[in-house]
Amino acid sequence: MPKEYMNRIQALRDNYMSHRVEMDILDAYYVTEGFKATEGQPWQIQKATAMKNVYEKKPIFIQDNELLVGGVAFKPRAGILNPDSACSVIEKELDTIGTRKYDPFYLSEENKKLFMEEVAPYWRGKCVLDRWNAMMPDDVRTMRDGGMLYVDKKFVRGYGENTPGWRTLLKKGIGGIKKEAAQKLAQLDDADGEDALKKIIFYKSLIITAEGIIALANRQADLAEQLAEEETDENRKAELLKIAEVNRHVPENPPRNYYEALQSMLTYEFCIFMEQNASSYNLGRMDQYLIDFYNKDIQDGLMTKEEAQELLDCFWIKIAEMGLFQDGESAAFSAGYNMTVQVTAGGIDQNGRDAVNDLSYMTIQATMDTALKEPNMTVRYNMAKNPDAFLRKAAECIRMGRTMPAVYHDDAGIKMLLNKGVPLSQAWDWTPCGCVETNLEGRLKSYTDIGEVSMGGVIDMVMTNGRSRKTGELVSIQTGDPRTFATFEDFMTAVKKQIDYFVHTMATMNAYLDYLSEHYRPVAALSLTYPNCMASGKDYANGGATFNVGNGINIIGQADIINSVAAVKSLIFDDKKLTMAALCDALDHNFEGYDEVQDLCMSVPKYGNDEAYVDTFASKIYTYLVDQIEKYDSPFGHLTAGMLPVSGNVPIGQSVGALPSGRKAWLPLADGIGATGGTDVKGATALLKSVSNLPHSRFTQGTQMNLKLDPKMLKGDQGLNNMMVMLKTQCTLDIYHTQYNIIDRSVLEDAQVHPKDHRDLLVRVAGYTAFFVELGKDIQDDIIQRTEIAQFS
Amino acid sequence: MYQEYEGRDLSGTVLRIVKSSIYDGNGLRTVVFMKGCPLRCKWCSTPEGINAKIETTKDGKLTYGNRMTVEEVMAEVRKDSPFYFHSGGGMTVSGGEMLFQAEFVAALVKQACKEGINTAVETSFYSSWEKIEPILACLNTAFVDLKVMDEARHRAFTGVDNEIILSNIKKAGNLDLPNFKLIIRRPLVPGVNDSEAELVALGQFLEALPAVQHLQLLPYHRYGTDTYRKLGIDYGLDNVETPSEQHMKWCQRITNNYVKTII
Repeated sequence: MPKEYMNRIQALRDNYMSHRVEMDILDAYYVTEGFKATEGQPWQIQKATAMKNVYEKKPIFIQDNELLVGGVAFKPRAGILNPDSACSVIEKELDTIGTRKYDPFYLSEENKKLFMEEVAPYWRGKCVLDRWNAMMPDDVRTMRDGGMLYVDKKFVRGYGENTPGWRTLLKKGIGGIKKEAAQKLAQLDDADGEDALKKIIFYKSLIITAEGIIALANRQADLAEQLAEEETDENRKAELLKIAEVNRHVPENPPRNYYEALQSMLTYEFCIFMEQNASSYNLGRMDQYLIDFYNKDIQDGLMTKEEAQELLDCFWIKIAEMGLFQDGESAAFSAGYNMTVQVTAGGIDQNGRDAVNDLSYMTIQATMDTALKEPNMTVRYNMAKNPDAFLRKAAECIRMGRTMPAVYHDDAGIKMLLNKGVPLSQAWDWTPCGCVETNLEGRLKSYTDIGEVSMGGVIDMVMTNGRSRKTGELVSIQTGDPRTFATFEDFMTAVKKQIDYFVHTMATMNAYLDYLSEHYRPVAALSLTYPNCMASGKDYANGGATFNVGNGINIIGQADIINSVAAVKSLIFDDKKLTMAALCDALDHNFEGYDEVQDLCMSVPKYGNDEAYVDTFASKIYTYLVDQIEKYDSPFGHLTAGMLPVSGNVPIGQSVGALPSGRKAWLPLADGIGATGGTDVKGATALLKSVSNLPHSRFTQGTQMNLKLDPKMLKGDQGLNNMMVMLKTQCTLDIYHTQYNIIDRSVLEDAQVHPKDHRDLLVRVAGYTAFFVELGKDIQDDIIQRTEIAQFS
Repeated sequence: MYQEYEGRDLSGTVLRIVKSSIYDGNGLRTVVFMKGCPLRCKWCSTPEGINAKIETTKDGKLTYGNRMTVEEVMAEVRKDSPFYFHSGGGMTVSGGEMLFQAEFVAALVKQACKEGINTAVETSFYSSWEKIEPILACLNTAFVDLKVMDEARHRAFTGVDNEIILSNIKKAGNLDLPNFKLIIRRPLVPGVNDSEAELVALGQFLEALPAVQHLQLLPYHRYGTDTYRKLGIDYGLDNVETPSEQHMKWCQRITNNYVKTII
């Protein structure tokens, strides 16, 4: 029997599915208006005023059946633009935004006009993206244009990739935080010099922003009261009055109950999203932040467990309503309008004890109930401390085809935080972030994913001596004609030199990103809940958080480089079945007319089958790579690395020629950290064993492992047990993360032909979930071709 | 390699090694299929395991069989030990008839036991007790196929007598070894070994054996017909269908009167 609360959830879900994805220009318009009104003021004050203007004027709405309210745009599922980051994107894509291949957004003629007349002129040459285009060094531009690196996305959208200070928000309320800022301000004297003045400017920006957030909540309360007055249904009238009461109180004040705590989090989530239009403002450990409110309300008889679940489900749908607008190219790299707002359950508490509680189960239940693509539900599975019943709940949700939760091996996450310089006492409180990155609630700053390095590109550049196969132009350094390599060591030296240069170029880009972010990306709304920003008088963007971590470089094409190196070692040097000249000729011709060479390339053991000959390169290459990345410093600490290819393996593959692995030109690189589709033939256990050879915990921005399983494998209790065995073994093997698609291939193929029949079909793209029919065809194809593990044997 | 042991360098002919099987004993198992079988069951689902020699399909595309030493097999088996740990799984030696290469298998099973890996075999017990005993001495589970009780029918459908099989099952069924489980399997082939009289005889035979944990009834399937084609061998049972669930239950009710029976 479905629970009664599911009637409301089903209605809200239907409403959600009925909305087309649209573009909102009004947020950008009000931001621009705010900047114009404060011309000449410090950028921080201009931005804060602009956001206050948005919060005070943006269109707001309350939909039927809603208990929790708000939104970032004029309607659900609409994208917004931060003109101060990337105004020129819309100008460039004005005529294609509604029809582009990845993540199209409907934009009305009226809004196009508003944008071109009122928004665009102000920002030309001024937004962060335009500044980057003006400043971009030639070496970075050349590598970017050659398709070896993807470097633009963080200039398009700003800070996200964090876990805001939810505990601070719930403890103090925005009003309380504002009061602290006022007290700090009162103690400062601008006669003390520039340092004091900088603090004064920062605290003022906090106060202005806080006023805006409080005003927005009160507008929501006003609207609820107005609707209540017009409402004829007594039940709904009471609900609307309750909404008014809740929004009148939070987020200005600390919540008095579970309902208010959820609304407080939601309003703040929307406000910080509006500030940057960035992905991954993570909800963190909601089961920990909310448990005291929940327990108290249950004990006091103010709420039933069903009501608590209903509110959580409502919250889930509100999070799913956010949609990320990005430029067409960035969208190709993470298609599916994904926000990657992550919620995690389980793990251990700050005393190192089992943290699983009622809400750990209920957050998973919310994902079961709502069956939408967001929030990005995950679990921190601590094998030593968490009960089997909790793991089983996660396995049940995965089996339902929800694609979530993704499962983290908790100890690996803890190690990553330690490796980021966070002491163990706090690392125990880590939160997964975005796709698979690591974070810490209210304490840690970094961009976790500033851009992509193509490992397929590294091999391509070795084999072509630095030339793009697309254009014939020199795009990278020259590491010698491979035909002249006398030994395998010569070959590896070239590989390493190319890696060095790729990393060097990314580090160059990072310096500009840090520079532009410090100057043009203040985030007062976000800084409100970072206690150390308050204590130090510094914005998050300027290093105000307790822990600052160097930005993360994302690595794509692990199986491609691993298999290519093994193939060269085996065919050219160990077994001498082929000369380098013959290999180069075959690659130059994309194996056309060289079938025998391609067969030889394919015959070498492939990563994903638990074969030491090839897997050893997973350890060696990736240890070398992360060593190089960590050599580069920044104002926020040395650079960091992750392997979270998102959907970027598809577009980045389009610049990479044929590889010694046997892969033909322009095809996608391998997804995640897994095997190249179709080359892992020994089942799930062998695949995981291979994957365990990567030095996971050193890639502190996470390593992402996709597994596609045939639903038949998970049938019955035994199937669920098998799933649990896999997850436990993942931990034993020290593999950080796994996530699952449990779908028949035939269903995916049918969805390509009959998209209307599969509008709510969920797939795990990478570190996030999307509606299959909303993805571009080539990304759909990439998901279909991933090896499906049809049975354990 | 890191250790010397008896039988380490013995070599055998292995058909294939399959990882993470859930059908051949407890948990996730690595199944080592040995080549060669003295029986000629008409329903055999692994015809490529019958011939003791390495053989190639008619089109030359596939080769069945590979010479490996005990240690080479152990190297593959060890790879999945973390999965055995969590699932209660381990190694299963199957065939063909693994007793066809009994010395090799005994060394393999002994070494796996020594390394703490759970061991099982799938066999017909068609061999001398002298070859079986050393394997059982360090084994966790033996799955023994008892195909037909009726002697003439056994010979007709498997090509061999069942006297030695019954005698070995009797001996194994009276063993009192710690950690040893004997499970009898009956592939139910309609019209061949599923009559009431046949099932009663089976139940009565097993009832008297204390080490028998249970009887497992397996429905006949036409698996392997594709391989017959590839090898150019005729398939012996053309007109037999897979038994219905209802019929399986009927059979179970009969044998359950004598011995615990699962489907």
